[in-house]
Amino acid sequence: MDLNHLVFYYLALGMTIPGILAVISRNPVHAVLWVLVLILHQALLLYTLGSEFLTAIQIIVYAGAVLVLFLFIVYMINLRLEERWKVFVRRSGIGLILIFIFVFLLFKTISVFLALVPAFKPKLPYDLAQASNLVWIARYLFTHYLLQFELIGVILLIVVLGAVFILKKLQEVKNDSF
Amino acid sequence: MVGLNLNVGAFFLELILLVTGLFFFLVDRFISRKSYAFWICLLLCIFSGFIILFIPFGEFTKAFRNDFYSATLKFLLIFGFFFVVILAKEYLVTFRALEYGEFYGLLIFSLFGSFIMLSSQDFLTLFLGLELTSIPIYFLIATNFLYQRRSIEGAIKYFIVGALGSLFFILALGIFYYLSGSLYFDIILTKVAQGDRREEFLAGIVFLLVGFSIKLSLVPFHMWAPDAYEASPVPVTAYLAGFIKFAVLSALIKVLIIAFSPIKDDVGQLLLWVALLSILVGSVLAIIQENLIRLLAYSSIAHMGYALLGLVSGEYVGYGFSIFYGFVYLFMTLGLFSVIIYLYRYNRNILEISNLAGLAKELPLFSFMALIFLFSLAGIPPTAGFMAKFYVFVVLIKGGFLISAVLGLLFSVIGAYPYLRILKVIYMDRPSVSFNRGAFSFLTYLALYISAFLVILLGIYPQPAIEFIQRTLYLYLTFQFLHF
Repeated sequence: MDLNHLVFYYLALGMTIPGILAVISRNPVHAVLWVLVLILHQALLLYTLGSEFLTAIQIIVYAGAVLVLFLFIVYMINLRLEERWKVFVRRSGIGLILIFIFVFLLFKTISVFLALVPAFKPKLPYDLAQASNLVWIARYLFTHYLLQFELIGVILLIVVLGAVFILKKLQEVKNDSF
Repeated sequence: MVGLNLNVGAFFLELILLVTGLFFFLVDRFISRKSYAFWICLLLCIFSGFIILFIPFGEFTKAFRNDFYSATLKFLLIFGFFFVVILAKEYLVTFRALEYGEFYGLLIFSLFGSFIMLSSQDFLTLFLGLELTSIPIYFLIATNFLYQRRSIEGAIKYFIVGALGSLFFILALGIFYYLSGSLYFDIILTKVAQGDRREEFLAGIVFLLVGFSIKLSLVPFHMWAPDAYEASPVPVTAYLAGFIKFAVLSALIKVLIIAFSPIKDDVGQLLLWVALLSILVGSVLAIIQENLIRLLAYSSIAHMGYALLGLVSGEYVGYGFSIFYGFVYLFMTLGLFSVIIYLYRYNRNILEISNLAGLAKELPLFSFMALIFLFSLAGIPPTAGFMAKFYVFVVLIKGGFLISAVLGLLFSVIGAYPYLRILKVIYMDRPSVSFNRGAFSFLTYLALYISAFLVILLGIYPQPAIEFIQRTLYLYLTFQFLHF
């Protein structure tokens, strides 16, 4: 067993155990923090596969933005009811059945994909010897996919503007005691 | 090395729209007379209607191309948008709390999105355009909570269902990328034309159609429509019902033409039952509605079903008739909504159908206009609704779908009942509430008369419009497939 395998097994364990812990921990804050551990390991796994861009995205978007949002929501709404054991395991029968179905489907899909893997060789349109993945992605993003990139920016801008507009209206309603 | 070669001229119109929309958000706080936004919008419509005739055809990047089809459809959309803006103004005169530049700004952003959608040359841009078209509308629906608390519910419903639709759309994108290694329409077309992997492409198309039919509110995915329509301000409802559906329908037709034309017959087969079910469910559920807006929501479901019937046979002629149907439906809706807005401004309870009783005695002109538009929606001969339905069914029968055509005609008989019931209430019932006659601006009369004129004209003499659309399609196809 060489170092590669060792790292892979460590990362796989580091993703599986926090995943299980996230599901079975009754405190929602703990669950979210376990998911954070999971995501960091996932990012490292992507790095070992040679996709440093996805690593960066994983950490910035998931660990940085999405989980903070989750934590925010967990603090904002009251989840005390969910923490009681009776409520927590009430529908476990249905859950177990669903888990079996999903595991079955998962193995089916994996077997199909494993048959495809030798045939599937992604052909990169660029040369990795010249520059790294990240550099090439940046170059493509700002030349070839410029319009799409800018459009995503416009969408985000519109969402922010619309949200501010709605909040302004909401404040007016509060002032007028509608 | 990847190069960058931008042809900004082809993107000029979209840039103007974007800048105008941002301008409203920037300066609105400093201007106290809020009607400036309306006039700028109107000028923008006229200006873009002219400038679209001079904008060069060509690519901005590879993903965006201004061509024959997109230019024609953009012209028709601007024509519709002009009337939407007038309706919005007429509504906001009474509902002052919504009268802000941002209201028009969000509408313009949505128009911008639909233009992107029509000019897109790859699925990613198409998807972004689709999102840009609907995201401003979520906000516009939600702003109505000033007058109607439950409009937040409608907005969230529309948002969640729309997000689900985007999910399916992206799934389809993933499948296409896996099958062809690209998201550009032309590359996918060559892969489809090779003929192997037909089934896999069809599986992707199913997901694509789910995404589209959520935006078009076709039957298995129609439940958001009545709630969202009821929740939104009335001009936004008109925009949702007529404009967005026309834009999305033309984008769907474009995708079918330039990415999947070798398997368009199979796609038609996929659409057949969706279209028939939409007609049936929309017509039957419209019967029991007491609220005018909910009734129109169900009728829009049914009408999108009719428009899809043109795509079933997989003939390019049918595609042209579908576009014609969308255009006619846009103007029927806009006309009817301008009548509704007139009544709604002076009586907030008017949206219940029973309150319309005896309208003909009080307001004969507006009742007559309502009669024209409702006849057109029901598909009764001297109006455009009849001609549009007629052409769609002719193509269906010529394509050999006789039983489906008979079923569609039977459903359209059911579908005529709700409209005729409104007319019965308007013309034959005893008046229950009094109607105030109020001032109505010149521009709204313009919108009303032009819509009515178009509906009558296209019903009596549809030849030039049909030929215009068919010739556009023909020229587009010629240029598109010249190299084959």
